[in-house]
Amino acid sequence: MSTLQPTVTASGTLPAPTALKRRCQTWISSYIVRLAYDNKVAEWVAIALFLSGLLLWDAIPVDWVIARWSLIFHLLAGLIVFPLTTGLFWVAHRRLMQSSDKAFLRKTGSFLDVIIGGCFVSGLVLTFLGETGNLPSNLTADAHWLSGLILGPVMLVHAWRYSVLRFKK
Amino acid sequence: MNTPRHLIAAFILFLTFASLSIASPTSSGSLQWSADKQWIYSANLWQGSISKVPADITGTPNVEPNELILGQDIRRIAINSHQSELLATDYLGNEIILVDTKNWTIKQRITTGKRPFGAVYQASHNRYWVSLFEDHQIIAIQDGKIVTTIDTLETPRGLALTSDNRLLVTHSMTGQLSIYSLDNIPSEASKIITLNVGQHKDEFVSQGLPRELDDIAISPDEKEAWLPHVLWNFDHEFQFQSTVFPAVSVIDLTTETERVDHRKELFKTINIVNNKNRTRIVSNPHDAEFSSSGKKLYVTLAASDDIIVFDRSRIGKSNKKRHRRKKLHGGVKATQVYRHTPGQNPRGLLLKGSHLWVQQSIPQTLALFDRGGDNAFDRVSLIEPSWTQLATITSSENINKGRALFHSGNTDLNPEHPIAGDFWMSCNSCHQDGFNFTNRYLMEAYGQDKHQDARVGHPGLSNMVSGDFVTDYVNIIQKTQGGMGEDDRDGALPLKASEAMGTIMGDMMNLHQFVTLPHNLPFIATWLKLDGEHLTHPKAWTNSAQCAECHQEMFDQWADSNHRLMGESNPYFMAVLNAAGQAEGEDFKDWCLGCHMPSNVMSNLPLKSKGHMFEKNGASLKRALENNQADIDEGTSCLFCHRITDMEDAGGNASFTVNLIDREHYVGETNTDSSVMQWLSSRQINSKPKRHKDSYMKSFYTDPKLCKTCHNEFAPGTGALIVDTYGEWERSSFNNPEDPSKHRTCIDCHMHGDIDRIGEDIPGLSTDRGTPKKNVVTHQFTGANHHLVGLRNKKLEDMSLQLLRSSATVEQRFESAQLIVKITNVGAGHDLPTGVADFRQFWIEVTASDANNNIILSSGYTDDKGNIEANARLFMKVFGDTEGKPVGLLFWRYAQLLSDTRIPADGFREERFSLPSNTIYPVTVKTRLLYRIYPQWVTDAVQAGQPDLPTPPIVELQSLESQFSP
Repeated sequence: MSTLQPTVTASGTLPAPTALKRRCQTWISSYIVRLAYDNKVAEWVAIALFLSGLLLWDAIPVDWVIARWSLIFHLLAGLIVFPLTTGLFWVAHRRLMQSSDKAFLRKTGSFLDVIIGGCFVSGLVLTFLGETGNLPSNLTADAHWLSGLILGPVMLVHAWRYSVLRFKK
Repeated sequence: MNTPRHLIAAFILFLTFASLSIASPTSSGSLQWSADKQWIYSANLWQGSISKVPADITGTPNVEPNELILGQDIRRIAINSHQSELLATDYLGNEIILVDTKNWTIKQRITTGKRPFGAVYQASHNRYWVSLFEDHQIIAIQDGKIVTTIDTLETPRGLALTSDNRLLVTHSMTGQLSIYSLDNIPSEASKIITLNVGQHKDEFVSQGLPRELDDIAISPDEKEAWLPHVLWNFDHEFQFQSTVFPAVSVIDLTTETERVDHRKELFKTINIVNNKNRTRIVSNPHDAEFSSSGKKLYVTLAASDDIIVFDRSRIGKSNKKRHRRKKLHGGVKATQVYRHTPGQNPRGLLLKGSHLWVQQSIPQTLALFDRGGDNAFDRVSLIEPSWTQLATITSSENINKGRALFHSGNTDLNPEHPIAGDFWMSCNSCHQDGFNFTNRYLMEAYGQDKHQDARVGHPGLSNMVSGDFVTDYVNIIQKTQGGMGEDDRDGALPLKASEAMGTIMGDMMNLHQFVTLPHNLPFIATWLKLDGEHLTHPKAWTNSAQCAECHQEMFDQWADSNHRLMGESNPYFMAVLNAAGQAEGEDFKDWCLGCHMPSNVMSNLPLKSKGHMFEKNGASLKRALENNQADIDEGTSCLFCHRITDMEDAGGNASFTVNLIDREHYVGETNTDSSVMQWLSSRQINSKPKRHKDSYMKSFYTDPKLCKTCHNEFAPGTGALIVDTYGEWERSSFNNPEDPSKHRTCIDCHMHGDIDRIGEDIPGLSTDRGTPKKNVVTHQFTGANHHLVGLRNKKLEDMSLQLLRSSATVEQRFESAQLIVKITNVGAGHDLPTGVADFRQFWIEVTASDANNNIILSSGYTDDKGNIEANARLFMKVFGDTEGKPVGLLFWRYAQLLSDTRIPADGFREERFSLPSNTIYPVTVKTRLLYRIYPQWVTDAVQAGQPDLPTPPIVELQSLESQFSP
């Protein structure tokens, strides 16, 4: 026979570890709810990645002295900062976006779902497997370039009203 | 009343503008006038600057010049007709610089091909023309852009432009003059004049190949162009006053032909004697300038530090009673040798009225002379020895002294220990601008019988220059230039080369400092150059195992190849290297190491005591990479080959430039101590590899001339051509770019993955998961040394043997009681064998037996110890020293070719064997074509130091058995 730990104390309060867990869950839930509306950091990171990515585009003649720093920034920011900021924001924001009664927001939001996911995954593939020159790597590089190029404008169109770039509000 | 005055004023104005607007001939020069002749502009050569000086001779002399630093080595300048812009050529910087002459600031830099030299401005089309000396091109620059590039004959250098828009281009190292019509943009020269090559039985008479044509002077009536130059006559051993001669050639611009009999041979033909009643000898004619009337011509003599004056006042006057010489030489006569200019190395000239300015390039000063006038008896006299200082001398005093010695042939500067005897020549008379690609033309000018004398350059060296440079510099000065007491007629003291002390030692050290400048021979024995650095840090050499991360297959091919393990791990090489060090001095080893272990030379690292002859798959490199240790590998590592950023076709001896610092690094790429940074840099390269690829690929990597830089060898100092694999290929049918189906370059055979399919494309990848290539260039470097590569990799050995077996065929026939064996070189593409000397054994073994099965003839067998019998028919060359004895291992002492039985590409040799008269037929003949990588005696010597070295086998390449009846 095993003795089960009481889930509720005699005084009607939860034991300390469970209470802490609950409090954390509550905090995270409320943070995610709040995060869903807090787009500033996420947007700045996305914009920084967009611009640093542009500097790596061969069509834009940038001196290698600048491009090399842009590359390492793009790589590290995309690998570390992006998931922790834009990624989290988007996870939090998706429920809000999906439940929106505005069809435009739902449509552009769903499109951004695909674009962000594609851009991130293709970026990971390029970082770890590389643009080695074969067909899959070339398609991955094209996908990253195209998704990144679309991501910026679509993001602005999706929520221009709240954009950090809309200085006059 | 005013009308006549107005008319006169208008007429004067008209004349003024007309004189400015009418085009006049211009020529490229290091001194130029502004259009109004109020300013003198100078290109200050190796000071890397230009200067402008007001040409006010009434003002205070020694005015401060307005100097503007532009680059490394500014050779020529041209100024536009508005005087608003100046173009300067940076000879070593490979760029042209446009300067705003009003603000005296740099407007623009334009990168050009290699060694931009001459520059002229074409007013009619508002464009400049520039010659690219090493790239064999001329280019037009308009509105700050290169608008036209024209391929020319080799080595375009001096430029001049006539008023009817003809561009004259001298080809400095081939003795030619091209004329281009510039009314439209030309695609090719309208006329090519090859200057006359005179020959005379007497070696001490002026003759030879016109070379070093730096400048052109066009006469004011534009009927003639005068070209100062030297003549090279290398058809006999280099000796005092018989191999280099000064001359000025004359071109008739009306008929566009050379006036051969008008050429001014300046060696012992000038009717001007010195105070010892000897004809004055002058050296290195450089620049020439006509007086405005055309009656006088002034030529600077850059080595003897003189100015020679020609009187042309009697030119064209018909008088049948005239003296024979006057008729022959067109009435032009040397009337004065102004000896000497106050400063050394006179180059550019400018004339205005009765004044003559001469650029003296060693002190960087302008001297001012009074021309005297245009009459035959007028003489040049000095007004101001240093009228102005043109440039601030930035190089050290020692280097400047060394440079002065290199360019000097002035015996009077040091009568007791002169650099040249009797003002004859300077180092620069042959080594134009130092040690560079022009070396090839010295070797091409060689005209002797190799069996008599194979040396192109300096005889009598003690230690091949680099072994003991002081002794050998004195040797060279004595035996080549007649200096240092060799010619004692002007008071020079006798000197034993090995006993040079005191000031002579100091002079030689200074000369050495100049010779070892980065653009010359920084490592003296080898022609290897390192761009931008003095030496590299060992950690700067990326471990090749790191490249395997993405180029695994290429790494694997290379890791066991002889292109990697050709230094410490090649015991044969080490034996010869040690012999070289013992015979000539430790520094001479760099001659070998420049190709075999270049990274060590560039890092100045000692050799390791032991190599890794048996190491497979680059194990030591991988170990070093895992342990984050630098490993300067022997041979040609990935980074070494793929960071050769420039090559000079100097004739071999590692004549290329390596640059490790200017490549486009990724962040953290050079931080080899940090695994994290290395990982990060790999991720960056992975995700954006284009820069990486661009940094490690150059278009000339597929050029066979790159292979020539190491697979051709010449002996330092003597210039004897030891290995000429490139030349052997160049003369063969395999060099056939017109027919791609027959054209085979080095990489087509030696960097091909399937020997059976040479000539076919082999698709593949050079990067893991990379772009599929139609033909992948592999990195096994398949060659003749099957033995050493076979110790590590059986597959590579098989490829080598396969290649060897495809090289030759054997046939045999019976003719006039003689057995004839014919070996044909069908596949090598170069001589069989090629390479150094008698190290490759390639021979036939013949056995003939009669009807009774008795052996009646045998040849080419080895004895018990592995030595080939003495009467064997070997295909090889044998080098001899100056006394005609075989040089053995010391092949750099090659002075004469004792024998050469190699089989040229596409050629054959027939070996004849007589059979006994009582032979009972039929005769069965078995012939084997055999090959051994090293002779037994060499292997024995090497095995004494490295007992674990297996003995190379004798390999059968071909075999044939036939039966003959009479």
